[in-house]
Amino acid sequence: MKLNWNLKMWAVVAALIVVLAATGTVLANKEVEKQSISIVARVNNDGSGIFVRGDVNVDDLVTIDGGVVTYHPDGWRDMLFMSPGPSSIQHMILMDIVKKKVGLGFVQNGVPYTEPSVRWTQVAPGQMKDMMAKSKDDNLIHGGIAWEPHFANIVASGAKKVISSSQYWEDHPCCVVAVNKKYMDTHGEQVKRFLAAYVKSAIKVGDILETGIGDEYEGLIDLVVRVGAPKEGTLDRNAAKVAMANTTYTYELSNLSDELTKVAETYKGLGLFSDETLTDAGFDGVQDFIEYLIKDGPLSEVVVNDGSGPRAKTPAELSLSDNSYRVDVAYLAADTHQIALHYGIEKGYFQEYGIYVNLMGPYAAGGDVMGALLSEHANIGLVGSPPALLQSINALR
Amino acid sequence: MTGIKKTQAKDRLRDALGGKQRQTLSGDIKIENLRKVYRTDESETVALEDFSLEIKKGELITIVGPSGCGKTTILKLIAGLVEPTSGTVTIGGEVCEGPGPDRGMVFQDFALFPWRSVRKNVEFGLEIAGVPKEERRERAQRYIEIVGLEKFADARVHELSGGMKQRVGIARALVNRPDIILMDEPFGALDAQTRNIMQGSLLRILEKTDQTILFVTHSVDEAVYLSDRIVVLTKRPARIKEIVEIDLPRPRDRASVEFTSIRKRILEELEKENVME
Amino acid sequence: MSGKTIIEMLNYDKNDKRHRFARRAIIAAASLVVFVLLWWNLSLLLANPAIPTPQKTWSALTYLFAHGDSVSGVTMWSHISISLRRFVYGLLLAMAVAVPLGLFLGYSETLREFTMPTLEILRPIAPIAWAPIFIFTTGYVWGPILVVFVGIFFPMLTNTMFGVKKIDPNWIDAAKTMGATRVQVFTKVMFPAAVPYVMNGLRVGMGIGWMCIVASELYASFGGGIGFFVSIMAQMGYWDYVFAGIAVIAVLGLLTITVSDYVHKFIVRRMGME
Repeated sequence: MKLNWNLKMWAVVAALIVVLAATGTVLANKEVEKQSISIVARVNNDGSGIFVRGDVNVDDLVTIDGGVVTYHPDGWRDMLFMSPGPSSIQHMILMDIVKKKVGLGFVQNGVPYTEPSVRWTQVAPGQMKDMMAKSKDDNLIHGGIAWEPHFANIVASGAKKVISSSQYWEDHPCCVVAVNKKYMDTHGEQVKRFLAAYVKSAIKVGDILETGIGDEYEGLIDLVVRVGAPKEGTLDRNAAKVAMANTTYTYELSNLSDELTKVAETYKGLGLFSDETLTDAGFDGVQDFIEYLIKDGPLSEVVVNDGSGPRAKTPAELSLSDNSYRVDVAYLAADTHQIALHYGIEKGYFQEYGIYVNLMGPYAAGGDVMGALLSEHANIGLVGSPPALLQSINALR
Repeated sequence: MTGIKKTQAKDRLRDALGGKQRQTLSGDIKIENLRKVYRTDESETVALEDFSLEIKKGELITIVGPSGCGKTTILKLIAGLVEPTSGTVTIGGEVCEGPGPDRGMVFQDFALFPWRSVRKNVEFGLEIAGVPKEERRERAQRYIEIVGLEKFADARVHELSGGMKQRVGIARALVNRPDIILMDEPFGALDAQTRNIMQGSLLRILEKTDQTILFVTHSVDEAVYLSDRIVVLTKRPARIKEIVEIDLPRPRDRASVEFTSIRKRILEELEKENVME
Repeated sequence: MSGKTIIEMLNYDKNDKRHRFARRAIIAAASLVVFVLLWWNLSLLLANPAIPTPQKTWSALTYLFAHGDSVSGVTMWSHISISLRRFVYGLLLAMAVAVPLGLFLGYSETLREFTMPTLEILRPIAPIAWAPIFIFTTGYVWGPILVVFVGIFFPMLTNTMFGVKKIDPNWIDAAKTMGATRVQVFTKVMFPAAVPYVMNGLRVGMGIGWMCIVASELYASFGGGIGFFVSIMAQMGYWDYVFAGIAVIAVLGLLTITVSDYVHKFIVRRMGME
């Protein structure tokens, strides 16, 4: 009896299934090192703010008395706010304010809701100013939250400030310097050199801003206007100065562990991750994982305090060789939190330490910078601490 | 009695124009000096020259001629689908301009609307004329019965055989009660047997109606079987070569001496045209 | 089971409808098994968080349908309904514009000659390239809908035009000899005759439209949707959710195409215009 089945074909298919199942089982039992990052320095604190359209009465939303902010839920209800995206610290701040302080729901625009809520929609900060101007006509968007220089620039263009992020959480962490974990382990030399140059630049920027006057200051503002404006002429020079004053530039890691724990607990409270993910990966909990992320070794190696305040060690003090290295650095679009990176490049600080900074990006959101780091596309990235934290946790899954 | 009366076209024309006072009935057709020239950038083709013909109400006239001589053009000119270069078509004393429901047409490839049922195809013209639904239905039903398709009234066109399709085509033309029906090789796409059956049923259908028929065919046999008169055309540019009157009684016997001799004669005439090419 | 041996029962008879169906089903199942195994191997081999295993994707999928994600706070059903609504609006809009325009352009040569140069310039532009412009100018609500509209519009238009050009001229002649006016020829002959071609345009357009909706939502979306869901989940590194979203997109795309294929076949058959 002859079967009409194509037996050869079926034999091949069956063999393929068996082989694939076998290799899969073998691979599944193999331990693989998961991609992660290390946080080696802070970039800034604060430097974001919530704004509303000029025709909205801010007193309906908040009243501020001697630094104490009182929120009025009725004013917030059904409003539509722009956010740089759910992975950003700005989004987390707005969500936390709406849910905890105002006491309303926080829903994605377009999704039907019954409980009194505030709506959010994702808009790139660079486009927020235009959207605000447009919304005067169509009354679609009421306000938003953005990082600097956009917050200052949007307020300068006729919107009203509700609160700055520091009024919600003083000295809240923002951007950090993150390094791909594998790169960190194998290219310590490069990380050290990069960090030394970065710290030198950050201290210099801090000094200039403290003076707030003079050629160096104006020169820095020139750079801010260039970096902060997606298009030439769209960033108001005075707004740039306000933006710089709203932001605290620092590299120090002190307290970051506690602050990130607070961020992580907020995320956990919002249901964005569970302890299980951490314990499954062998961590005791949030604190333990954050201590694993933050590596203060390189920073303590490159910073010295000889009486007149901390400073970056010179190349000679670090006894660096004459070699020079290329480092791929991911950064965010039009984000003046990261101005020290651009200032250091402009002033040649990185070259002094034998580092050629190859800028990767600009990326639109911190999540994308993390994507570049975790995929080893970039070696080092300047990124908001919430996406750094959340994506690191998610990379464990 | 040979059964043949030959009249030269020119003589007939003279008669027609020469004050032979006869009341024009609706359905009487007068075609005068039709001429059609097709122009392209490079060339001019005269398709039809000096075509004049008078047709009495209820007559069945076939047009035969060498292939490609412009037989279809004549029908399209009369239907008003093609504009004549010069000349006129007059029906019941009125000059025809453009197509109209007074001249129905039956096509070689049936030209039925496949998205409509048989009934809806037959109703098409009535629908166009704005006939109320009830009456439409009734009239269509009558003609569907006349062509013997009552069992297929709600069938779709693609479910029908070629012969049935053409009966729908005929019913669709008849239902509008046109003064004249123009049939463009209506049985050309059918096999020989179906063709003979269709010729028989056409004659039976026409007994029940009083329409004037102008019938184009390339089959002389068909022409002799059906016609009161046969218009024989020359090769392109088509002119009337001769008009043959046939007064054999119906139903005609294809095997009869008269039938075969008429057929033979016309075939010889046509052959001359073809040879000259 | 006296007469029939198992071998006999297995014997494939290609004239038996059930046998043909069983054969196709078995082959499809084998193909899917191989695909899932390949995916599993690849995911383990690359050990990249962005390529989760099939198991993880499956559990993410079931979780999202049952509980939803914490960022948007709604289940996958809501994301799907948002995208589908946009898709349907874009589709209806495209039909409303492309079908009459296609009929007119097919009908009038002058009009066709006049509009074709412009349409030919616009046609090759990938619909998603319009997304930033549409989304900004139409306030984020109509933007993604318009992108779908553009995606469906051109296949629909060209198919309708083609349909009109392919109309048997005898149909028009027949209608004219029955006294049809120009308008009647248009509505009673040209329109119904073009319907199968319109349906073919719809079939092609729906595939493209579905890609457009997801792509434009990925770019930016005012009101969420499945593409937006994928984009924010990627931003936050929920790669299993991203894959679940992609799987949903695949299934929805397949469904739309199957449905439109079926509708196309049904209408063509119903109209007797196979």
